[in-house]
Amino acid sequence: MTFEQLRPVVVVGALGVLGLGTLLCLLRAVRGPTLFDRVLAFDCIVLNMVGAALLLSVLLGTSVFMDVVLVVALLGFLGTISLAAYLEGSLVD
Amino acid sequence: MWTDWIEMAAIGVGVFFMLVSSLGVFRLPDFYARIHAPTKAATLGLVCLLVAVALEVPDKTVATKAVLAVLFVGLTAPVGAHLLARTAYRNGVRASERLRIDEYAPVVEHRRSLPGREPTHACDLD
Repeated sequence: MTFEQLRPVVVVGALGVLGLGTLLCLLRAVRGPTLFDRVLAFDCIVLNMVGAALLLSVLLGTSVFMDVVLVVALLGFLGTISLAAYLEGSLVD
Repeated sequence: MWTDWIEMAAIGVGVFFMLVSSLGVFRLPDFYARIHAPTKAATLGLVCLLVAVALEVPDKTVATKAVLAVLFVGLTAPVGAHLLARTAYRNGVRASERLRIDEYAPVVEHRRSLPGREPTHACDLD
């Protein structure tokens, strides 16, 4: 097996591992005793999705997903911050 | 090419750390232990994956965006984790009994005792 045959196998396996991690975060979001655990699980799912976009970029050999990576990371941070500020009560006062 | 092997190694290490962070979110005992996992491990995993992409696509714009993403994730992950942990503590999420030193408790009690501040409990939303 040459290297060029090995590369898609490695990348698709890595995508499967990221899917397993997303499943674990989703279980925490469902189980999660408090609301903050669910926010944390959402944050971790967003990071996993960013990693999946990077792996797709490696698999397809394109550079178009880099903008997607930046925007999705920004939106995940914005969601976490706004949920934390809302639960703190500093947005509604 | 030796960059291909570095790229495969970066993908392996990055995915390993992403899996460790998700496993920490799932398995660790209480909220303040769980919030450690995605802030540190997932940041390192994303840095390794961005290195892999920058090696795969030899382009200046890709490298620039990868450096930007590393800086952005490295700046925002600690800020978000700190804000979330502070909000959780002020809303009454308690750590497990294994927490020995709790230096923030008197501050929060003082804040609660101030007039005009209703103690909020967002945990009651569940």
